[in-house]
Amino acid sequence: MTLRNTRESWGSVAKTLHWSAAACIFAMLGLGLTMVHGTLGAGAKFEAYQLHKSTGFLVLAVMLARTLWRIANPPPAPIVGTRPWERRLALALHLGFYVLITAMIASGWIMVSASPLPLPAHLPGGFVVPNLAGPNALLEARSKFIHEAVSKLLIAAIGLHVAAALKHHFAAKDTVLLRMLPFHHDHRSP
Amino acid sequence: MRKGSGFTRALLALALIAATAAAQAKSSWKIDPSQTHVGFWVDAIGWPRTAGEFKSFEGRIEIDFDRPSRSRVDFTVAAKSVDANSAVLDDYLRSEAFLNVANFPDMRFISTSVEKRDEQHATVTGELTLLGVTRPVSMDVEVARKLAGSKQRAGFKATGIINRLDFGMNTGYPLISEAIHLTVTTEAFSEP
Repeated sequence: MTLRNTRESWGSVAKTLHWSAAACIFAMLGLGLTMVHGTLGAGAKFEAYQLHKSTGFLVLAVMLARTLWRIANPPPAPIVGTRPWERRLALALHLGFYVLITAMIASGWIMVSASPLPLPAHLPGGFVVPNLAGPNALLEARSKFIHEAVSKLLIAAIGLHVAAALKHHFAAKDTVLLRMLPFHHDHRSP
Repeated sequence: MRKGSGFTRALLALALIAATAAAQAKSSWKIDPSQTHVGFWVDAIGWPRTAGEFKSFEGRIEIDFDRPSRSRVDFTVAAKSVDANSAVLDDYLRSEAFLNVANFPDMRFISTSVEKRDEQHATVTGELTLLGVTRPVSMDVEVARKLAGSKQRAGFKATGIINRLDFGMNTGYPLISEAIHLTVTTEAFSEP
């Protein structure tokens, strides 16, 4: 397995970034749903919110790296036999992920910034993330609405993404899923 | 002379009894830290009730059970000892947004009047200093006396509500209520 993508398969950098983002986003969705809807005590809920805010900036870092790597290093070619509409749908869904995740990060950051209770995110090393806006209840309410709505779209998109990967593996019996798996070696690649 | 001397003796004896009675009536009590809990809770919209306590405090109580209005309370709490069951939340409560412990390490309550309502209840009014601001505060106190071995012990439960806005603690208002509910339970023993 190479660092860079080949024509047939994903390189180890792209795979690491993909699965890092997947792990972060699963954790963030779980944490977000639990802290908002779960029955936590005040202290645990407060800690969950702070962890969610800090982890959001880890997602931002991973997504920036992914975007740059995606631009610098073209993805593998679609597998032989992919129909044009499938190719367009896959591209739209993949682009959709970048849009949805960016919207999640932006709405979350604005929500934290505009909160009437100003409490910026803290990062490891004592770094405090600057606020994008001052306290503004209306802006906070709007960004909160977007954050919640986009989280549902993101869950739906993940469902489609997983369904498509399984369909490729079990129905079409091609290598689309396998070539993204961490330790899969494509024997046809050099 | 005999009569006079008897009268003087009687007066002296009376004065002595009175002095002893007075000394006994107003007694100094020490707070038992292991039986003391300085608790608070505050509500907020869309957030579970935040309850916590202050772990570090010291206090003196002077009680005159016969003339309760002569009783006095002086209680000091270390602001940084706040504990709301979360180290992260505690740090936030210690920050400038709330307790500002770096600039105002102590909170102090000194009673100005004690009014007995019945055998078990009193209203203690005093001055609370919080964030460097002193305001009058009233606490309802429940008193229970008991004998434990040779020592006299008294249990107190004081409850009161303070308006944090009075002390300039405005962060998060009105999402976070202005009313801070205080409950102080303590046991004190009379000093020999």
